[in-house]
Amino acid sequence: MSLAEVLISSLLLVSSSSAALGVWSRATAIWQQSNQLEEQADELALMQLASHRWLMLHGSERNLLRSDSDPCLLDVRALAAASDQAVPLPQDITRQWIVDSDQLGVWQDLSVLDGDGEVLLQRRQLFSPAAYGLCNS
Amino acid sequence: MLFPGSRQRLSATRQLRARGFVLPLALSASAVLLLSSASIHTLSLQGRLRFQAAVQREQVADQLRSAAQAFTTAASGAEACLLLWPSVDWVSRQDSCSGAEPSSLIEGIVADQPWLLLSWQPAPGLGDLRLQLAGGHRASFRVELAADGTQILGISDVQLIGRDAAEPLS
Repeated sequence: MSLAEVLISSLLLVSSSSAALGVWSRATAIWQQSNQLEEQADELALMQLASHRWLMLHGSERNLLRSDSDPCLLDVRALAAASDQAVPLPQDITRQWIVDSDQLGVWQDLSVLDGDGEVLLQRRQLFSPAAYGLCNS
Repeated sequence: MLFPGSRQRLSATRQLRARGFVLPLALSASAVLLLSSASIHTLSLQGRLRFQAAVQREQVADQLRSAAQAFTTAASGAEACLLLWPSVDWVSRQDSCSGAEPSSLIEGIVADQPWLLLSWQPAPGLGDLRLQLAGGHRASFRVELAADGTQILGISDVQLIGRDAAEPLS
């Protein structure tokens, strides 16, 4: 066992260990981020389902329709206020109700934002009053 | 008892073995470290890819849900009367529903995503709605109907029924 052999072996072990540690820490970060995103995606799915079930069960109990329009349309303000009360959101999720440009209904945008306000995850679904028996044919 | 020559040869062999022991061990340990870290990294990336695939599936399901909601909007006016019959009979039954235009229930566009009605099959109090997106993704919905059969009272969650890539929408 010469000094040169020991030095080369040590150098090899140190460099491979540091490289492996770097990869492990990166893999751990990806795994933790994926887990967090999965939890947030589950929360979004739960909120979307909750909105659907709330409209199914209790949509007719509140006046959610616009009174100033002939076709049956949802009143975005009334819907936003009622849904915030009936289906409250967790802290890290935001919700927006947006009228469809073709008057097909109202879009519910559920988003998870990062610290800088960038959208990490989003779920978007159209809600029509006709699907919940709120329109008389 | 060893001869002097044999003792020298044995000593030389021991020295050679000792000299060649550390470097192969270091090489093996380095290889194990690097291979295991590469495997862990691959596993974490696979998890990320699985998550992204699940997100894409949910987005397709949202598009199908939105298409079904758009169908209910289209079926709430003059076209509500068409809900009484299966979609295959709509053209022949058009005279029974004054002002009803079956084409508005047969296809549509929701947020730039074309959808196509595959079938509508009514039953007392219920209807089976099947839709397809431009990408070939298909779904069915159970629709709750009023007693007169012309008003939708509720809609189930999406039931994905597979993708037919062989028949894309034009």
